[in-house]
Amino acid sequence: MSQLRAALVIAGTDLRRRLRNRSFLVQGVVGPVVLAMIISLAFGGVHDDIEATIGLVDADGSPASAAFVEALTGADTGDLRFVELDSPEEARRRVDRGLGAAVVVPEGFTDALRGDQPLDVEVLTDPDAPISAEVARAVATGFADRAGAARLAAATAAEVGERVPSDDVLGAVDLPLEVTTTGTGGDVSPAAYFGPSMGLLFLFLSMGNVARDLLAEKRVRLLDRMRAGPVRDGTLVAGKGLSVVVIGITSLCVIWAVTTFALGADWGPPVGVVAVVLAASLAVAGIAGLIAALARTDQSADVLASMIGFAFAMVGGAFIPIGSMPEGLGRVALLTPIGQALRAFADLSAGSGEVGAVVPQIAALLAWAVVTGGVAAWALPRRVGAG
Amino acid sequence: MRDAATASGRPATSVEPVLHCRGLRKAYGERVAVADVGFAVAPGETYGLLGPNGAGKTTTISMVCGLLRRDAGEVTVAGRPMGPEATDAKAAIGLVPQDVALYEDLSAAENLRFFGRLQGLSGRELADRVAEVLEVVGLADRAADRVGEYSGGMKRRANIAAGLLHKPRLLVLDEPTVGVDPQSRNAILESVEALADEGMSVLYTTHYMEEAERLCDRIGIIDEGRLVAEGTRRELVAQLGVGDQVEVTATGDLQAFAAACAELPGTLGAEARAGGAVVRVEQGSTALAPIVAAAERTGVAIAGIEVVEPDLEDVFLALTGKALRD
Repeated sequence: MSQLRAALVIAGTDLRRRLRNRSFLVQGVVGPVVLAMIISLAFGGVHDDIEATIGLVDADGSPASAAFVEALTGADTGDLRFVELDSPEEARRRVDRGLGAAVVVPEGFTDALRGDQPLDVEVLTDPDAPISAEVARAVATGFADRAGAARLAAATAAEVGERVPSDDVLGAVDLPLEVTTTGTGGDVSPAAYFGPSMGLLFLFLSMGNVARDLLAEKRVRLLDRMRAGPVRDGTLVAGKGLSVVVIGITSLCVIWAVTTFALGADWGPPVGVVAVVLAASLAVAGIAGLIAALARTDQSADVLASMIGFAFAMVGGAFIPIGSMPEGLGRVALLTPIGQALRAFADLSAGSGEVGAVVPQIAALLAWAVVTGGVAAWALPRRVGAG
Repeated sequence: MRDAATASGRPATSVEPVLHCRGLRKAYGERVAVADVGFAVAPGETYGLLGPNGAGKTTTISMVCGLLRRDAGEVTVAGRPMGPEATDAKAAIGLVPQDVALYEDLSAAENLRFFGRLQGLSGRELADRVAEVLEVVGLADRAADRVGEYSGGMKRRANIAAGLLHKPRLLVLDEPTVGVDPQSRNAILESVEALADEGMSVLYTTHYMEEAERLCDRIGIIDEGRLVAEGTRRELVAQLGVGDQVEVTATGDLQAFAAACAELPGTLGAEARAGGAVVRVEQGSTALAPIVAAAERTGVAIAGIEVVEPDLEDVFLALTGKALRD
């Protein structure tokens, strides 16, 4: 009896049992697909077409504020529209009546640039229109930054020339604004993002089942019966790990197929997707093995798997796309296997590269698999075995 | 009794034992679970490890089967040294754990095919063996049913079947009747007897004295991790030195009858009691005729006579100072 054949027999029986089990279908396929559909629908408007109208008020009346308003209202920004309003009061009234948001350059804004306490650009928002609010804040921040830079430049010039800048100097500072549209080479549809993200979330949460099953098999001495045969402890662990990898691949591939055909998602080049699916499944198997090695009871297996799974999912971008996270959090996301996998899937889906572009993410996932799987391969036989 | 072995674990005959273990020791921290245990099982012999719960029986067979790393000692199975990675030696063993070590969501046939494949069986050979062992344990007509749907007794029988698939040289049964109803228990014992009759070597652990007496050619009594005695039932009882007890119900001169019995060869003692007499003899079966003759000589009319042999419970009590089921 070769040990390879024994490992395949163990993995095959594990798979047969899991595929027969309805909870696997719910947890591994139905759950992720349904959640991906719901989240895709919820986020659909955001990702496919950003529609918002932003009001602009030039209460300052300076050349800089006029240029700012003119640049935005005259630019071609697609479904994002800017309209000029007469006064801050009108802006408040319109926002109350459903205008998404408004940006007000206050009276005396340019004059205040000379003093120690410059005025703020005011943003009026409607709580029911978060996207418009975000756009308005970004516009206001951009204008304020550029005005501040112009103020600094003028003040510096005056210092060098040993002259105090006059009102006219600052008032005449022009802020040429150009609005250009740039792209990243493609978009990731919600289904193409949340399909794999939900699949990964459920896979990580299912790690507790793997540990629990192993503990149960040890408890009723099923493992002893296997180990009493011509099967090495390492072979047993390898067989169990192989079944986890195959389950991961199966689950993610089914979700890939369903989101592609039912939701029109484009996950990207198949070779790249398969490579990432394989690497992610190996990482899941390694971490599941580690949990099984650490867990002493069914309860501790569940707690460990839930804690690790949810932590990776929350931080790794399973619920909020990494691109939408603050920069620092985005970097933290990439420390998790879910973050690495989702970045790879997103890159493949956006068409920003072929398989070569996701090699770093695949390498990171394989590193997770090797490190955690290595520790599990050392510790698990001691847990299941000879003591 | 078949080929025997000594208490030191050395085979008593020149026949190579199927199992030979010597000086087994296992400790968990300060607690010594098994200390210096040794015994041998000859081909075709049924050897019983008898002891109360927690005596060290399961720890011993875990080392015998290579499931547990031993602190000291040697184990050979079918002439091959046993250890956790000794796949050759393990191939000669069929283990039937105390728990029902089967997948409840698979059918009996699927379970048996799984364990058969792990033993290296395949194809027609595997199919034939699965059918045969299901027949042996009387589950052929329920082969396709999930084990989870079986009664407790049926699960136990399926559990035994999984240990027989590869025709092991040594079948190791760890308390296979615990928690089983009397009917199923009897069926299991009959299965073990049938396997022994076919010449299979069996290592059987139990804390039921009756099972050890019924099934085992030789018995090792284990307590607190130590093998305190070993031999056939008769050899163990003989260690007590109390012999059998013949209880006679009779009328007449009972004092004269008891005195006559005390003079008989092989008699250890005799005394008259109300309604009869009690005679302690070395062997009850050979003492009956002289006792009846003594009754005739002393004019005593015998209404009933019964031989009561000491059992393993008495042996265990004498050896350890406590009852077997403590």
